[in-house]
Amino acid sequence: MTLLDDQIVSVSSAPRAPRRHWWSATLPAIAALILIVIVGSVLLAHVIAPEGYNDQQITASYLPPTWFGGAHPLGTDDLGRDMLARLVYGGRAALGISSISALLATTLGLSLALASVIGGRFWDGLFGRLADVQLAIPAVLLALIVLAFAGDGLVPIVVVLTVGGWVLTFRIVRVHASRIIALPYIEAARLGGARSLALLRRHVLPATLPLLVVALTLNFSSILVLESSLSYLGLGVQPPQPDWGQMVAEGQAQLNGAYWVSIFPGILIVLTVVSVQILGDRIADHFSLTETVR
Amino acid sequence: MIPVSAELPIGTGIENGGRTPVLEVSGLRVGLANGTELLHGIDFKLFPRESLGIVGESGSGKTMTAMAVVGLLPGGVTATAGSIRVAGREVFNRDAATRRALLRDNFGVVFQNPAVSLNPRLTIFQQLREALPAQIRRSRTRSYARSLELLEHVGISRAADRLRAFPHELSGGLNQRVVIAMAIARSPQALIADEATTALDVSMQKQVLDLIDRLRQELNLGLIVVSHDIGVIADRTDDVLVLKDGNVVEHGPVAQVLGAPQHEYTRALLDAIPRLDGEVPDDAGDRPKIVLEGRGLTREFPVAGNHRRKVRALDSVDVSLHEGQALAVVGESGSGKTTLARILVGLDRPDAGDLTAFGKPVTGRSVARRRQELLDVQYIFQDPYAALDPRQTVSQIIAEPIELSGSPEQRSRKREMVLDLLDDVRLPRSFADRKPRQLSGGQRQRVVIARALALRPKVLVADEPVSSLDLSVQTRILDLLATLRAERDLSYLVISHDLAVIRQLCTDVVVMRDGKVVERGTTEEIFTSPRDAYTRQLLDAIPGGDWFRASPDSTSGQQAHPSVTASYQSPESE
Repeated sequence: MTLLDDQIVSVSSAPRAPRRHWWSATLPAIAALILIVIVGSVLLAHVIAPEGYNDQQITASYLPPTWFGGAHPLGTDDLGRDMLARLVYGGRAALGISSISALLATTLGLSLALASVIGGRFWDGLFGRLADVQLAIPAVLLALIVLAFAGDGLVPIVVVLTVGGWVLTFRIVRVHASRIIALPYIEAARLGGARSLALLRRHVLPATLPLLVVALTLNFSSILVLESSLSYLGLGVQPPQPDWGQMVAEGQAQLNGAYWVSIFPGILIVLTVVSVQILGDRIADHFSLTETVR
Repeated sequence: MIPVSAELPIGTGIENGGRTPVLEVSGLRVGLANGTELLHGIDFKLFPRESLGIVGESGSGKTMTAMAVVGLLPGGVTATAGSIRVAGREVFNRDAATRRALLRDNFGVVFQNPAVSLNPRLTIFQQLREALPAQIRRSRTRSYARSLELLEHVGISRAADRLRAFPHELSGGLNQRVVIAMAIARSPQALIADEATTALDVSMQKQVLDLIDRLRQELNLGLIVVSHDIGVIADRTDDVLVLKDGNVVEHGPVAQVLGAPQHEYTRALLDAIPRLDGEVPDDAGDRPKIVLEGRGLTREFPVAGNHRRKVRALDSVDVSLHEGQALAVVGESGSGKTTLARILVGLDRPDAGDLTAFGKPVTGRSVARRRQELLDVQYIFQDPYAALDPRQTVSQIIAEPIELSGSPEQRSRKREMVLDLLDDVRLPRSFADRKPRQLSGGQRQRVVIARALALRPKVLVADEPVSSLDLSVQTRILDLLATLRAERDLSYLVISHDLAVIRQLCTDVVVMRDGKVVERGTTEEIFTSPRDAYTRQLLDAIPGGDWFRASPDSTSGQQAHPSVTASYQSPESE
C-alpha cells in the first residue's frame, strides 16, 4: 500500500539551515529570567519599598551602594531617597506607560494595515503615505512639539508614544497580509461567499497573529527607549514621581561622585530593552520554524 | 498492453561490452542521520550517448538518487554505503574538494523549475558566467563569447539581447533553455534532467526534450531523465529504472520494461496513465438547458512596467455550458484558459461581454456580489497545497462555505454535512480533524472538491484539477470527478493542457489559443479528426503518444490486472 504514499523526505537543493549555537538556546532563557526579575520587582514595588519613593532623609544624601544588607542596598540620591525604592517605582511609570503605548500602537498599526489590505488602492495609498510622513518626522521632535502644547499629562504622553510606534506594525503586517490575501485559499473563501471582513477574521488575522507578537516586542522596546528619552528631557513623568529616564537626567550632574544615581536606571533600561528584543527574536525563530506562512 | 516494438532503441546500457560507463552506481544506500534508510541499494550504469530514465512516484527516491549522484543531497541526508564511479573514478573516499571538482566537471543538472533555479536578480549573462569554467570566467570577453555560443547552442535566438535580460523577462521555456545552457557550460560527460519539463506545457515540453535529445547526440552526453511521467520516459530514454520506496523494482530497456512489465508496481504505474484511446465519457444526449454562458468575453491586462500597453488575455470568447455537459477548455499556457475560468466563476470581471448563469445575467461589480449570484458555480483549484488554509482543520475548511452562505437549516447540521461530504469524496471521516499538512496531495485535492460541493452547486469549474498530482493519484481524482458528475448531476468545465485528462473526463472540447477559440467539438471529433492545425500540434506533442495510443489490446490492458488496480484503491494511501 506504500505505492501511493506521499513523499516522506523532500529533496531539494535549498541551502541547509544554519547551525544553531548553544547560546541561541540559553540566551532567551537568561533574557526571560532578567525580565521576570525586573517586572516582578516593579510589580511588587509596594512590598520592596513600603515607605514609598519620596521618603527623604537629607542627612543621608548620596550614600553609596552597600549591595547586600544595609538600609539602602543601592545607595541614595541627592535628597537621601532610597535608590532601590525609586528604581522599582520608576519602573512602574516607565514599563506601565510603555506597555500601554505599545499595545495601542500595535493595535493601531494592525487596524490600518488590515484596512489598507482590503480597502483598495485609495486607502492603501493614504495609509502608506501617512506612514512615510510619520517616518520622515523624528519621533522625539514630534513629541517635543506635541507635549509643549498639550502639557505632560499621562494621556498626551501615551498618544505621542502610540503615534511614534504604529508604523512598524503597520509595515510588517501590511506586507504579510497583502501576501496572504493573494493566496488561493483566500479566493476559495470568496468562492464560498466570504466578504472582506470574514476573510480578515477567518484567514488573515490568524495568519498574522505570530507576527503581531513579534511586532509587539519590537514596539515595546523602541517605545520604552522613546519614553525614557522624553522623560530624560523632562517631558515625561514629573517629579517627585520617579521614572527611569528622568532619574538618569537627575544623576547626570553627579556622575563623578555618585555614579549610581544615573547608572542604575540606565542599566535597567538597557537590560529591559535587550531582553525584550532577545525574546522577540526567539519568538520569531519559533514561528519561522513551524508553519505559519505558506 | 504495450506492443513490444520490433526495433529496440540502440545501445541498451545493461550489456555494453568494453566501453567505460560515464557513471556507474552500485549498491548506493542513502539515509538520514537517525538511521532511517531512504535508498536501499541502487545499481545502474550509464554509457556515453545513452539515456536512462528513472521513474517512480513522489517519495520513491528518484530525485534522491539523482541528487546523491551529483552530491546535492539535502541537509541531514547522506550516502551511507555503495559506490559511485564517474568515468571510472570512485567519488566516495575522496576529499570534498576533489569530489566536488569531479562531479562539477562531469555532470550538468537541469532542475525542475527554472523560475526557482535561476536567480531573479542576476541577468542571464551573469548567471551563465557563474557556470563557466574558471579560466574562461576570468575574462569578461571570453565569458561573453562563450555565453553567446551556449545560448545559440540551446536554440535561443537574439542571444545578445537575451544575455542582458533578467529571468522574469523570458518565458518558462526560454528560461529552461538557459538552465540547460548552464548545465552544459562545462562540457560535462552527462546531463541529469530532474523533472526538467514538468513545469512546462506539452508543446514547450516537447521542444525542450527535443533540445536535450539533440545535445545528447551532438555532445556525446550520457543522459539521466528523472520523471514521474512515463510518457516522457517511454519517448526519450533507452533504459529505464523503476523505483519504489528506495528500491529498484525493475531495470532494463524501455521496450522490455514498459512492454512487458514484470513487477506489479510497474504495471500499476502503466495502468494509471490516462488513456488516449479509451472510452469517451457519455454524452448527456440532447442538451435541454444552458447553465452557464459567456458571450463576447474580453479581458485585458496591463503590461507590467508599461501603463499604456495591454495584453488581451481573452478576445471576445463565446462559451456555453449545457446542463450535464463536461466541457473542456484546452490550450497552452498563456492561451487565456485560466482567465476564462476565473471570469466564469466570478473571481474576475470581463472588460467586455456578458455572463449569464442559469438564465440570469451576472451583473455584480465586486467579487463578493458576483459570487452571490454565482453560488451554484464552484471552483476547483489547480494546486491543493495553496488552496487550503494551513491553520484550519479539514472540517473547518469544508464547513466554511456552509457557515458563510448556507441556509440556517444547513448551518445547524454543519458537522453532519461535513462528514457526508467526506464520504462523498471517499475520505475517511476521521480526517475531519486533521490539518492540511497531514494530508498528501491527492487527499488535499479531495478536501478541495468536498469544499466545492458543500453548497450543492450545479456547476463545477476545475482549473487543471490534477496537474500537480502524481499519476496514479491523478487517475483516481479523475475517477472521483467522473463519479460525482453522474451522482450529483453536475456540469463541468475543465481547464487543462493535458489532453489525456480531458479524454477521460469530458464530453466536449473548446481549443483556445492566444485568447481566442480556434476549434470546438465533441471530444471524439477533436481527438479523431482535429480540423485546426494547432489542435493537431497539441495532440502530437503528448509525450508517449505513440506508446499509449491505438494499440489493439490496450483496452483489455485496463482489465488485465484487476488485482493490482483493486489493491491500490484506497485514498488513505494517496
